[in-house]
Amino acid sequence: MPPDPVRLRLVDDAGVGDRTTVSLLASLVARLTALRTVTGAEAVGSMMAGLAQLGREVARTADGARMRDAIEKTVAAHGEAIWTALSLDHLADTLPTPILDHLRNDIALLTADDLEEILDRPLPAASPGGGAPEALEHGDGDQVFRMFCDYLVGVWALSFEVHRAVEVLVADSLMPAGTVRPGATATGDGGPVLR
Amino acid sequence: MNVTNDPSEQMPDGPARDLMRLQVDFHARLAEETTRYLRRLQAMLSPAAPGTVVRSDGAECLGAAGRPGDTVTLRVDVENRQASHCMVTPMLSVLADDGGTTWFPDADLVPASALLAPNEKRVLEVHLPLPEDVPPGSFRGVLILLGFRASGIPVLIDVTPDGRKKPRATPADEPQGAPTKASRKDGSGKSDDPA
Repeated sequence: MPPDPVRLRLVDDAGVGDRTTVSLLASLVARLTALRTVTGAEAVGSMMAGLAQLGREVARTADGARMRDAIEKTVAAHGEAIWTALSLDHLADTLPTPILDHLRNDIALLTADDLEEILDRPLPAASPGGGAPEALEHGDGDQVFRMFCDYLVGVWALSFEVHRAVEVLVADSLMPAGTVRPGATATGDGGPVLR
Repeated sequence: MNVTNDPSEQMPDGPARDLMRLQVDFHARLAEETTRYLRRLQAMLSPAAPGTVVRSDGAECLGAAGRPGDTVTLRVDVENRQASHCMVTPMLSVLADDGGTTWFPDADLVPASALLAPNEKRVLEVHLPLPEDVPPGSFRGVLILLGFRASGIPVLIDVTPDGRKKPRATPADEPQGAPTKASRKDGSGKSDDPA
């Protein structure tokens, strides 16, 4: 008798709220509204902290561990020097933005069947005291259409460029996939994966 | 007035110096606690990002067996039970055996990412070549669905010298491997898929 397959169900995080078109739109509006109450440095720092948090999570994976190992051996010293000299470590020492959740929620909004219907209603309430940003209420249709298309192509191109640039930077030190290290641990601190 | 960097020259010994040190410590801790308080306050008031949680049914462990040079396949059924589309990106962790041997698998994840519509089901496959230099043993790791809360599914890969599966304690630990070179070589026509 074959064993049960591993079945995974993706469900809403009850502690935060359901992922519906309304809640995803509310999250986006809240983020945009929050920009009115924080400084540029705080917003950028929060995104940097979010990226670092994502990096820590991905470093638990085989590909992420190889990439991190290669970065440590190549550009990390210069990166540390730049961050220290410009106090970027202080900038990023703040509340991390859940950057992947935001990206996925925004992608989900783009594919929502009921988006137009939801947008016809008054926009959902944002964070405490916040309203919908003006940018969401105005704009020439054709211009916004073109700008959005350019923006998404830009995001796509930038992500490719980042991907390639980081791989080129560490190419000489990147351990090949499939490497087996006898008697070694995944990382210097005893292996984060299996703790 | 002379100002010096040497604290011993700045302050006289005795109660005044102790008082000054106490005052400096107090202000340092006050600044630290204030920052911590403001961050907690910021976290409470920051916009919530609806997220995804993974719930597991059926077997609780992904397993497969093979010998060096084989390729085994792990399969996971994923269902999106949310009202919005959801991106799924599987990643495999580093695998390690009891002897401390670490294996950075060259896994082929199919699909590399998937955008699941509400109530859509997809099968994720991980094709895992067993390197020629991997020693026999039980290698443990985790299949991670990137960015989800509680997303790790334990993985157990048995590398056997003769390519035959080791007896397993529970059906939940049984492998779900695809036909391997080993099983085809021995002419049995059976796959590593437990049956």
